[in-house]
Amino acid sequence: MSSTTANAVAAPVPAAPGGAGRAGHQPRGAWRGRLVAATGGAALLGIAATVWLGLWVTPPDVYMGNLVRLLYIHPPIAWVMYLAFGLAMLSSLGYLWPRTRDLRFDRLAGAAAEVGVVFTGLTLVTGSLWGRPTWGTYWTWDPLLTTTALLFVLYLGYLALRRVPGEPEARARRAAIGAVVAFVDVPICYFSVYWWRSLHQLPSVTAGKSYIHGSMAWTMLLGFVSFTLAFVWLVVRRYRLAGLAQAEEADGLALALAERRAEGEADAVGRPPGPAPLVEHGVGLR
Amino acid sequence: MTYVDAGYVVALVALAVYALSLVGRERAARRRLGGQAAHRPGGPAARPGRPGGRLGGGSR
Repeated sequence: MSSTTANAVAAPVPAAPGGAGRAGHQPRGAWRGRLVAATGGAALLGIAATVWLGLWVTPPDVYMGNLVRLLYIHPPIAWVMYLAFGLAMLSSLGYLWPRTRDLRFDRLAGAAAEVGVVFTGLTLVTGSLWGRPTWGTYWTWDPLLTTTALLFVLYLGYLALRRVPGEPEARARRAAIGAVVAFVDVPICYFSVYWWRSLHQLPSVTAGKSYIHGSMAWTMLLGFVSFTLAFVWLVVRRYRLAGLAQAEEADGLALALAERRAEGEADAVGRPPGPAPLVEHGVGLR
Repeated sequence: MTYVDAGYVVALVALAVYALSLVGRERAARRRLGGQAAHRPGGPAARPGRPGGRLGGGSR
């Protein structure tokens, strides 16, 4: 999102995302800011409570012993991974659909995908730390592990694709197509434990059935809610940052053009006719 | 440190670092944008009472 193109000048400069852009919108922006802060606070408290319950309050499992404590964070983190990539895919479809085409969808997709990549990395690491004492190895080419690693690589590629220079619309379009293509691996990843019964266990909680009960179930549920709130907060912050980067691109280019124009006018007074040399200010020629 | 402790530490530290990096990058971007608006000829930040220019001093 850092490349500067000539078209960025013509594109409308977005209002400060999450900020109070105009005087008349101050209360709305402030209300939104408080909501985001409250979400972040709730996520922090929820995660702290999950850690406390998971490590010190809940009992060890009959079969897994204390290793069950990793399940209070590993499945919620994996759930957020799916959620993030789902949101990235839906936002990308929103951008690709001509009636709803808007660069805000592109920014949202990028924000969700980046957060999703962080959670995918954490899913792999926490899963490996659970697998070492359970299976005797940090890594095995189990279908679920392999498709999760593939997800990680696919969305890293998607993030790299977003950084390829180009006009904003062209960049957004190819990124949206990339997100939709990468999402194909998400259902394969989720259903791989059902399709190829391998080393990884089935989900502990599904739509109709739960294999854990009592304080263990409540702690896991709290983990799901807390990490989802953390996801919302992170995506909002990342989305705002993307908006600021876009405004910065447009502002930097407009400033550089204004300076070149002013220099051209100044030169026209004291110089013979001809092209004005570019002065190395390092401000706009990024 | 057990595998369980390591899992919690890795997850929480990574999320905290990522969250703080987002907050820091957003603040830096707002500062830079404020600076650019102030340097723009006839920009809104040139007017008193609007330190952040077009961006206002908005919620961070």
